[in-house]
Amino acid sequence: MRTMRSIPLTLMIALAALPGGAAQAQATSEQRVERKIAIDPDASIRIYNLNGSVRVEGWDRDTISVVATIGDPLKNRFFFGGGAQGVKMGIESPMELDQAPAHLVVKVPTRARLWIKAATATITLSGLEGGVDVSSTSGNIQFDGNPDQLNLETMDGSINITATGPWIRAKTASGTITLRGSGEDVGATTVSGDITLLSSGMRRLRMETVSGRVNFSGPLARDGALSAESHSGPVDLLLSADLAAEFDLTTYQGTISNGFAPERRPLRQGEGQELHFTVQPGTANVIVRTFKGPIFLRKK
Amino acid sequence: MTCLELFDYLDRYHAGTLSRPEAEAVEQHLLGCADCAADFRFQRLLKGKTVALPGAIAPEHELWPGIRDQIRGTAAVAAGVRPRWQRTPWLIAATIALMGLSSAVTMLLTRTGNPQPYVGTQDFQSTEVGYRQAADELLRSLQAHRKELGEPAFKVIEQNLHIIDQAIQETQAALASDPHNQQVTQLLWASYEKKIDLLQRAAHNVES
Repeated sequence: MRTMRSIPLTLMIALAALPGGAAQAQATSEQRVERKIAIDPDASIRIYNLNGSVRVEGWDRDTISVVATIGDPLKNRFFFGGGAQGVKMGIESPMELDQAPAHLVVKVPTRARLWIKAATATITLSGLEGGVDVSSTSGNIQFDGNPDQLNLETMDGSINITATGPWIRAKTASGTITLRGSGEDVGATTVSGDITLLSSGMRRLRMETVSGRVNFSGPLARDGALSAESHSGPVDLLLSADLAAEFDLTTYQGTISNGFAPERRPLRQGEGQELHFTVQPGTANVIVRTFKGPIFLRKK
Repeated sequence: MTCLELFDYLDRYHAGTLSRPEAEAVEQHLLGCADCAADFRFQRLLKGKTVALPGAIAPEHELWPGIRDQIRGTAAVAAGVRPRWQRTPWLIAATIALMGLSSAVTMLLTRTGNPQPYVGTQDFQSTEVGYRQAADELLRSLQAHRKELGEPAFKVIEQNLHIIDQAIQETQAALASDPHNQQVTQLLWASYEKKIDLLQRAAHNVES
């Protein structure tokens, strides 16, 4: 099945030639294009749009559908190609980073494997269950779904995830990362951005930053492992009161505040502090390392 | 599995720590992707070289020239005129080369029997020089492609590199007065790795 509909360029030019009016100006500055083809449920889909927005929704059909609204269509071109196993689409522009904003609304089979590249474009993803890999420079990324594998990266955009999945990774430089949900293997890394993880059950969890804040709240699996590493950013762990774990906290120049097991006092270690204790049976592990960032251990 | 997804698996594939389905996914991708297969062979070659080294020999004497040549060699191929999204991913190749360096450093640390070499030892200096060279090489490459990355993005990267460099300096100062502190040494390596990771990601943004 294949359908195609676009506003002819000649019509837009003709509209622009008419006297005055915002409608005409709008018609010349944007072009709307639709494409739809049948694809495999686990097809690979590559989307390339530097500026504007990309919205991808999973649906229960073996079809990919896209509605593209292209800015400055005289310079920018929407490309779309591929077959049942894979589709590639995006905006091709001689302006590259100065590409006029384009807006793509894409519907894909829920199990499709997705790859998206953007610069400033806002990316919104929902209802996806396959592998998802997104790379952006400064665009915000929002994900809501249960992915098989999720990898989101942006430099100074923010990442907002609500997900349950076996493998989740989020990375920024100065952007913030917020993750709600559960995962078998979760990683969040920033340089100066804050990390907030609101767990509804995570097994292996690694949070790393240099100067951002690290906040974790919620349960950890009985055999789970949580590690947090920071240079100067504070690490704040709000843990379930019934967590049985081995705790290993060290800060070279910072302080440790233990509200989880207040009877356990941190030991002085040079300019910093360290705290090691086990809540039996202690099958989980909580490891925190900072250089000078304060560590807060609290009970939920 | 996409080429980028493969990056996260290759080190663990080499280390034999992937689950069977994950390992099969890696192999399947390598069978169908000539570029990744070539990179994989390069990594395996690097690994072979590092395994052959005695534990006390610094890795960069053996590895760095090859890595540097690989980066420069692939960089020389990069000056194509294809559309941005189709260009030869030379920085990705550089990234993989640097992953090889990271693996080599990790292997060195593991093999010496002492998890972290102390400040002032040859192992420590070699490791730090390796990280610095890797970061410098990536930064030079990135600066050459500054326009393609975009000035605002480049400034963000510079700001974050500055934050990491400050962290490195503070950690180095701490080690100067407490040279046997294993955890501070670990934090130092972690900061270097974050620097390289940031530069790698910026490289991907230019070329992917």
